[in-house]
Amino acid sequence: MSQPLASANTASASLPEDVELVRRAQNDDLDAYDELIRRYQERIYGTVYHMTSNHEDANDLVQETFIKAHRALKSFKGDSSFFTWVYRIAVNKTINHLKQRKNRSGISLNDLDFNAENDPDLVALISDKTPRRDAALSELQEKLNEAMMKLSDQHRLVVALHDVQGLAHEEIAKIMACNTGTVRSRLFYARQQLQGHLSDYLK
Amino acid sequence: MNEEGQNFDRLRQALALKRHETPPPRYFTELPGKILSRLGELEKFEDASLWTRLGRLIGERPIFATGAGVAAGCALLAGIGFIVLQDTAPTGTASMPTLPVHNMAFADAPRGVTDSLSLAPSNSNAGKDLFNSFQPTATPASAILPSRAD
Repeated sequence: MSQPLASANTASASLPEDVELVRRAQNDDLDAYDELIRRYQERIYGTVYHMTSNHEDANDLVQETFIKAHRALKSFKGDSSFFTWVYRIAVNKTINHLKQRKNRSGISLNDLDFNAENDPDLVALISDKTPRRDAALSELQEKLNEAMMKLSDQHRLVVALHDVQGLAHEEIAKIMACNTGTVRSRLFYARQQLQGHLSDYLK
Repeated sequence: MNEEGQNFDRLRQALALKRHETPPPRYFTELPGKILSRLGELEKFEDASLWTRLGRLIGERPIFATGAGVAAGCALLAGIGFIVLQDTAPTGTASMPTLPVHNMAFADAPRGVTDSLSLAPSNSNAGKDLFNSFQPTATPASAILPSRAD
């Protein structure tokens, strides 16, 4: 999760291999499915985690996503890439989960990795002469997650997929089953909201 | 929706922090094994017979055992109750409530009716024997109804 995802090109470049793995997995080859899990687990986990801000929930949802995908694999016709298809399962599961836990506070954040302090974006943000330049990364992390959780599920999803994971608008549109215009407008609105919530930290 | 008009650079810098939130070490090494293990368990569970599945379910979650016990108890009680009710319930019109005859107020009945039901001695001998053995004393309505205390 330390690097943003490449755009949809990455997924399409690996498409032939995915197709082969999916075909084998459809014939009950668990090694092939194991490879598919290893290929996409970080991205799926990342999306679910950024949607829930809760590691335990993300862990459960990722497992359930891959279990459901395996059970539905026979019906997968290949109209979309495996990547998009499994993403949709994860997103739907996550949104349903969030509806159920609506009134519970459920933030359980992962630790920041060692590279965070050296990330050029974060170095610039923290070391600039801003009123909150002394803010620790962990404090910013907490505020950032709180602000994310104030967004609607759809807006949070767009931010997680685009600004955090680096997916292209077109790929997000496929995952969310909407057009790219909707993705762009949701992204703009979500950023505005986040900027408002984090104004103290972004001056 | 003028994105250039709004500067989201600093927000995007802050969002970079989210990429550094990582799960515990070895998490992604172990996750595929956990998923495949759960898949294997599910397949075993589905292949098992209904009773085996129920047994496993109860074994894994004691609340199911409690629920099953309560449900069985309720079903048993309901069955017993039903049988008892069927045995004791009177059949047909006999089950209808009976009115106490001696409380009927003949004073309220129409004149013609009271005449025919007159309990006073009659000159007619017709049915005399029958009425000799059955001579109820009619209670006046005033004796039954509560007196009005004005």
